Amino acid sequence: MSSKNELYNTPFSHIYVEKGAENTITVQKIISKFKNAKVISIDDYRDVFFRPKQDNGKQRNTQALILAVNKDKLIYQGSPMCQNFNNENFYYSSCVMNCIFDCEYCYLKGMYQSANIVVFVNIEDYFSQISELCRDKKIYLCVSYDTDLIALDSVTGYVKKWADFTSNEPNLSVEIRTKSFRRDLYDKLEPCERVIFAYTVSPDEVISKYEHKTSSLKERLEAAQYAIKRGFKVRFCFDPMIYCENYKQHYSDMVNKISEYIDWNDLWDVSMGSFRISKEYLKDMRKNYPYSAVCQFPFDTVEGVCQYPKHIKDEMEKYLFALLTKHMDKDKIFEVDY
Amino acid sequence: MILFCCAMYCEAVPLIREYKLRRNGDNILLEEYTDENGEISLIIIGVGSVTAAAKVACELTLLCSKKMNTDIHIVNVGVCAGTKELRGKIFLVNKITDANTEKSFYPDMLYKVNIPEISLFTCSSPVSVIENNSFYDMEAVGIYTAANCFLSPDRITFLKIVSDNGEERITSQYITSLVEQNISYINEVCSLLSDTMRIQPIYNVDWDMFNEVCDRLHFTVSMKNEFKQIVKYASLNGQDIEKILNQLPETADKKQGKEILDELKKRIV
Repeated sequence: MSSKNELYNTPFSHIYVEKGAENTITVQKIISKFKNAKVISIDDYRDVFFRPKQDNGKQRNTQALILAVNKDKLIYQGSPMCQNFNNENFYYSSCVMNCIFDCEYCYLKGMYQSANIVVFVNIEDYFSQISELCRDKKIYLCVSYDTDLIALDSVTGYVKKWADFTSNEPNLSVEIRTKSFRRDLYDKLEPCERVIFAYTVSPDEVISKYEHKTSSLKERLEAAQYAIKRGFKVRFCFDPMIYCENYKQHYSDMVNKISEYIDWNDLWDVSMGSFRISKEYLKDMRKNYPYSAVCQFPFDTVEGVCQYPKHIKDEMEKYLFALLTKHMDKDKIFEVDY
Repeated sequence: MILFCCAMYCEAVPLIREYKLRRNGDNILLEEYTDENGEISLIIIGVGSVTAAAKVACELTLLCSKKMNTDIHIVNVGVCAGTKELRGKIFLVNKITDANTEKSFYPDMLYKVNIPEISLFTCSSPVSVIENNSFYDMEAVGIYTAANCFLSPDRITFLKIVSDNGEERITSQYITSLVEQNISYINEVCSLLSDTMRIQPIYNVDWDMFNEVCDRLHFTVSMKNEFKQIVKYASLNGQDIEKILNQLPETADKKQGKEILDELKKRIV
């Protein structure tokens, strides 16, 4: 039998480009990075991304890239399942849909039928709408929820665009969340106190078992350390916490390892919360990823949200909270309330 | 299994020979040919999108009622019109457009197939002029739309061989010879698709035994679903499911069954 690599095309071997976007500089730049890719012209990204009956699990083996113009809503209210860090006007925006990383527990696998990646090339339209929105109020905007913008930056170059745009909008704060090792970006950006780089931090055990293709804990910590050194605001997100055998030991080791690389006082804040997901998303994830122990865990469902049984959830969260409070002030620890 | 579909018998002849297929007399609805192991099947779907859609839907309904639909991959092998220079060449189709409605469909291009790719127009009647080096057939849209009601887009493949440029008359013998000339490419695709379908069982669970235990414990449908999830998780974590199932006692009613289920969940997770 052939190995996966022999069977599947390489990622981005096929690029679907929406008519009307093909001549834009952004599209031309992106296509030029994939010289061997087959470029297929499409009328509307939805004809590819929202096709019926897609096998998200199989597509994960070789994601296609879709370049399109987002003509729909560009900014959304933040979900109550996400941490707003006490920001009143909490929004999120997706200039990219889907992620090159392959975390087994990721809600994107339940939210989208497709594993392919959509890059919206009309980022200036996003900026115009956000400028309008934050004209008379402070806005807190998460821009890297439905993707990992830093991981995909070599394709899009969007991190600098977001950072530069935010620097010029005094009412805007953005969070860019990542699991990437990349440090070089911090040399190309100017620190801004309203741009927060948020690292999702997990124990090595969780990363190696469930966060496929992501950077190791050490690499993430080195990247975060570099960002802090260069004067950027850094947040750590212990979210989602994943239950596994000997989790206490794994989370304790993780906290010790963080201490080796980071002075906890240098962190802007941290968030924490155990894994939770909407019942509908989990249904699709279980179907598409039958091999995943994380997805197949027998969760409890509370008001449409699947979560660990209360005794596990409480124990895990209390345990991590206690570990964290040894290193930092309680006020800087944000627990997800759901 | 691989399900070939060809519009005309003359396109199917080389495949019937290559895979040693026999007419399936039990199928009274369709002209179907199958191999000994039930791993390859072929149906003749007729010319035109509507007929093709009806026959593909009919065959997939029959197959899916017998098998899990995840085991099926449909491959359309047939001729198409294209420019003269490309006559005899085989192509993999990455986009199909209905020439009447201009709506397009996209089979997933996941696998390393060593065949050049094209976009294809499906027309309702034969074309007489080739525009802009395009390719034309008369069935692909029907096959895709019908198949996609049952199968994911990565399980729908189109292999088209250029036979004419719309101006010439071609014979059925000529069509057979074109498919024959490209049989090695078709074989390669077929073997690659077979590899993608060789999947090991996911959960090490005797589901008959599982059902017996559910009856013994007086589980409701909802309790059974919850129990199934626990068993799947335990199996993925390498626990001995047979031992777990054997240890569960018989209960007098579903109330006792629920107590055992709750206890088991605590123990497993």
